Amino acid sequence: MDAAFRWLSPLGASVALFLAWGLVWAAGLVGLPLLFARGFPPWLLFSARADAALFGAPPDAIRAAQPAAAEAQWFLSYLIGIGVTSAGVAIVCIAWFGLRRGEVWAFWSLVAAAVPLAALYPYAISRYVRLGVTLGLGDLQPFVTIPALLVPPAIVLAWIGLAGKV
Amino acid sequence: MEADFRWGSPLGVSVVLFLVYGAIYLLIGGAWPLAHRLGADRAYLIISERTDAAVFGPSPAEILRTNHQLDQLRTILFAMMCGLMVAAGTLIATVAWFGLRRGQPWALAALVLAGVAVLPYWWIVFRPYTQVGAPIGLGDLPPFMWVPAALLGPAALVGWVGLR
Repeated sequence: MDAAFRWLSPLGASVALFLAWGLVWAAGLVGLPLLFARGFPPWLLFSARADAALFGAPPDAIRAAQPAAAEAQWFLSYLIGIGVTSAGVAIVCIAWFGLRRGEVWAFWSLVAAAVPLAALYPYAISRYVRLGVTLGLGDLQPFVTIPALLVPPAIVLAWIGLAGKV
Repeated sequence: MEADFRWGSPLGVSVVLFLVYGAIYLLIGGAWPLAHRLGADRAYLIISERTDAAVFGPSPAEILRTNHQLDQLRTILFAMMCGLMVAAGTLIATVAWFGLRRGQPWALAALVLAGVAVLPYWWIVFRPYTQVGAPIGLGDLPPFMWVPAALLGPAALVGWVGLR
């Protein structure tokens, strides 16, 4: 470990938060196959309640009536899993080998990775909100909520910890 | 640039291949919003027009036109997937540029692990198509599916040679 690095510092806390983000996503490698191991989960996108409000019918009924919808959910969920897992591995490595050593490129790389997520989550959620569907934290998937909670403080703490460099 | 780094060396070739790997994700993920706005993503449902028609019957455009729920579901899933592709592409490219280019072994390990870890997923996602005998050729697959998989082996091998 780098001599100047301390976990109980802004940079150390930031590294811990980014590591948690990466590990949660890398866990998708086993989490996603487990999720589909016994058929489909009770939701299409977020939760059975919210999805029924958005699509006008319960997820099970939609999948039963429209095989293409079931196939799209299954196939695209795995493609999302590929992106999540690959990104998770890279986030862990960048946080550990780059940010922990105070590398500025690592900070900007992690920030840049968070930008498309900051755009796409509101886009997906807006589809529900437009129809008056309220979404609570319990309606969202952990791979969405956990980064949404961890990344903003991680960025702020890294900014403080790297003061003078970024 | 690092003093002892050369593009023509095995390490340089590996960096180029991993940069292309990341760029494919970045470009395709980043271009999707425009393609969606122009309606260019409606020729296929999931993989390609030919393959999807073989599995689902009517043409993908017809299915999407008559099925609003599927259209909505697919649009949101594609948006999430493409955002994640941009994120993954950014991370892969930066690890290749700032880590592997500087000769850091952890960077090669990270890039290979990030690629290898998801290979079983590809086998899982194409299984339903192969089970029903749907024809899937390279021409049916979007580049983000097969280009990174094709680059991973050579990139890992020359990277390993370059770091020895």
